[in-house]
This record gives sequence, structure tokens and C-alpha cells, in this order.
Amino acid sequence: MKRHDDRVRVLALLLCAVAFAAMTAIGLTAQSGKPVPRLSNGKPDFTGVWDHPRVGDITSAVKDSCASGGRGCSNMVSGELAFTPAGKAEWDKNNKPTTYDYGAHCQPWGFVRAYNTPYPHAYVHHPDSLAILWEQDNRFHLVPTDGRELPKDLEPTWMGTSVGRWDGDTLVVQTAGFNGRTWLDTAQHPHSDALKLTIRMARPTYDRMTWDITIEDPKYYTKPIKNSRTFVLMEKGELFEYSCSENNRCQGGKCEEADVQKTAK
Amino acid sequence: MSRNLIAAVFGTIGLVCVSVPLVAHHSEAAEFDATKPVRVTGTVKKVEWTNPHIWFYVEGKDEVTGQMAVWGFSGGAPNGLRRRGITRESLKVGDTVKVTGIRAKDGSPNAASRGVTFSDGRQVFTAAPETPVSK
Repeated sequence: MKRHDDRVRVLALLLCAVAFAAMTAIGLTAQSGKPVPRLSNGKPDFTGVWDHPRVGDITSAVKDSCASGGRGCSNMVSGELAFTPAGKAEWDKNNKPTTYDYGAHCQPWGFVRAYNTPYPHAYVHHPDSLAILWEQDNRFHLVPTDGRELPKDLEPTWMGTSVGRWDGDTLVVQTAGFNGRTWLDTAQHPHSDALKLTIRMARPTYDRMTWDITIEDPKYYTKPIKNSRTFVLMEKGELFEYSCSENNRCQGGKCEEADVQKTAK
Repeated sequence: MSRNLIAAVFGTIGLVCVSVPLVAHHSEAAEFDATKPVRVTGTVKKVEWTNPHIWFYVEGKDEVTGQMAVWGFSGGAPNGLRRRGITRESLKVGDTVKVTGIRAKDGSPNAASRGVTFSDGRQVFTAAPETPVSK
């Protein structure tokens, strides 16, 4: 009888071992199992094409949904926005369906809104700099990470000026120097030229990045706005061409007539 | 597994893949009126596989208003469509299609497309400019 019990115990242990191995294998597959690549200075290398959550409204959360149709991307938000009187006035002006959308006229989307788009972005990472490549409008932005400070007298620009520094394995990017002509999102949440961004970027696993942004704009908001996003690596992804002005037929509430429409008259 | 079953499974997967709503470029509300739907059945006269949105032109009658015209329909951006397996080969001049959409605010025979159904029943959601965002 004891011999029979021992056989049962051994069989049960074997089954558990097989089950554990299978679960581990499934887990490794889901997380890829590859180590996080490192730059020559030992810091995480963000190089790659990354899918991000589609964020039409920075106050709305996104769960397990990537802009390109995949899973795993997310956005956690900090709740209702606290406007200053000037910010509220600008929001009231924007918050109408007839508002002119500068993006529809092929002007730059702005730093925050460029990260919200339906198309992925890429990073090319070097020990002294991080290049951000957005598929939207094929726009780029260079972040020096060589220890320099953010200049004090910045020229106002559409995409701002950035510097980065490492906090352990997290890259902290500060961006300022905006012209105030863009929005934070397609929901038309405004920002002024006093906009300052602090972004904490990390790559905790091979195929995931975290991107936590703090948006400060004392002219338009009485407290910071925060979004915490997860990006998913597109292992064999590539960026495609995007040229906004090629055939932008409907702008400002009026559509151009096409040749086949003219000849049909 | 029979060949038909395999085809049905992959066909369904494909349809799901291309049916994911595609959003793009900019605020749709600035150019198109969501309260004015159009439903046009006709023949494709021209396809422009261009940024920031593809445009295709269908000669036919709008079921909603009865207006005959060469209707222009905007769709998604070529990069986003390509990523989902929809290419310039997906829609050809001469195809008979039924297109649903919402009409341009200027009253011209143009619309943001919502969906395309081919004469054999295949459906391709071509998407419109960026869908409205809840506030």
C-alpha cells in the first residue's frame, strides 16, 4: 500500500512540475523573455518602434488598447482638469465643433498631441541623446541627455525644447519653450506658452515602456495634469510615410472639387 | 478541418482586423456633419491613395436625399490602412460599392466614409477623419 502511495505522490509531483513548466513557458512567451537592451553607458536602450494608446482626450483612460490595433497599451489619467480663468476662457472658446483645427491645416500637432495619435512612434537611442520619431507628420525631436541644462531663454516653438537626465534606469525628460499654438489633445484642451512637461520614461521589460507625463501650465491650469501610459514594442514594426499636405481636400469647412466631380457636371 | 471552415475562420479574422475603427488626422466635426448621413450605391470612378486621407469617388444616388452625383468619400490615411492590411489594391475603379458616411458641411457631394460594402458582400471599414471625442 505504501509503495502505491509513493507512486501516486511521484506522479502528482511530475504533473505539477509539467504544469509549472508550461505556465512559465506561457509567461515567458507573453513577456518575450528577452533582457532589456542596454546602451554603452549601461542605461536602458529605448531604440525601437513603439505602439502607444490612442488618446483623443487626456482626461480619458485607455485600457489594453494600442493605436495600431494591438493590445497592452494603456493610459491612466489624473481626473478632471482645474482651469484658471484664462484657461477656462480658452477652453470655452475651443469646446465647440466648429473650432478651427490647426492640425487639419497641416500645422505641427505639438509635443503632447503627437504622442496621442493613431500611429506609432520610434526612438533611436544614443548614450548622449534620444531621438523621438513620430509617424504622425513624420516629425522628429531630439533630446540631449549629456547633462546640459534646459536653456533659460528658449525660442517659442511648436514642439518645445527638451533635455533629459537619468534617475537610475528612468530617463527624465523636461520640455518647455512652446509657442502656445497647439492643443494637448484632439478634444481641444488648450495650453499656453507657459507649458512645461516632465516625462519619466522607463523600459521595465523588453517589450514594454512606461511613459509618465506631468503637464504644468500655471497660466491655464491651477494644478498639474498627469497621464501614465504604457507602450508596447512593435518587434518588427516600421514607420511609414505621412505627408499631411498632399491631398487635404476639406479644410476650414470647405471641400475642393475633384477633377472627376467637375467633369461629371 | 475542411478548407471551407479554414477559409471561414481566417475570413472572420480578416474582417475583424480591417473592421477596427480607424481614426486619423484631425477633428472630424470641423469638416463633416454627423447629423447628415449619406448612403450611396454606385461605381468607383477614381481612387486617390494619398495623405492625409485616401479619397475615392463613387458615381451614384444618395438614398437619403435622392441626389445623383460623383460623391467624394474620405477614408483613413494610407499608413494606417497599410498597417491593417488594406492597400491600394483593396478598392479599384469600376468596383460596385455601397458607401455610408456623413456629409461635408459645405453641402458639396463629399463625405467622410463610415463603411464600404462590395457587391459580393465584403465589407471594408475605410474610416473617416478622426472620430469625435467624448468630453
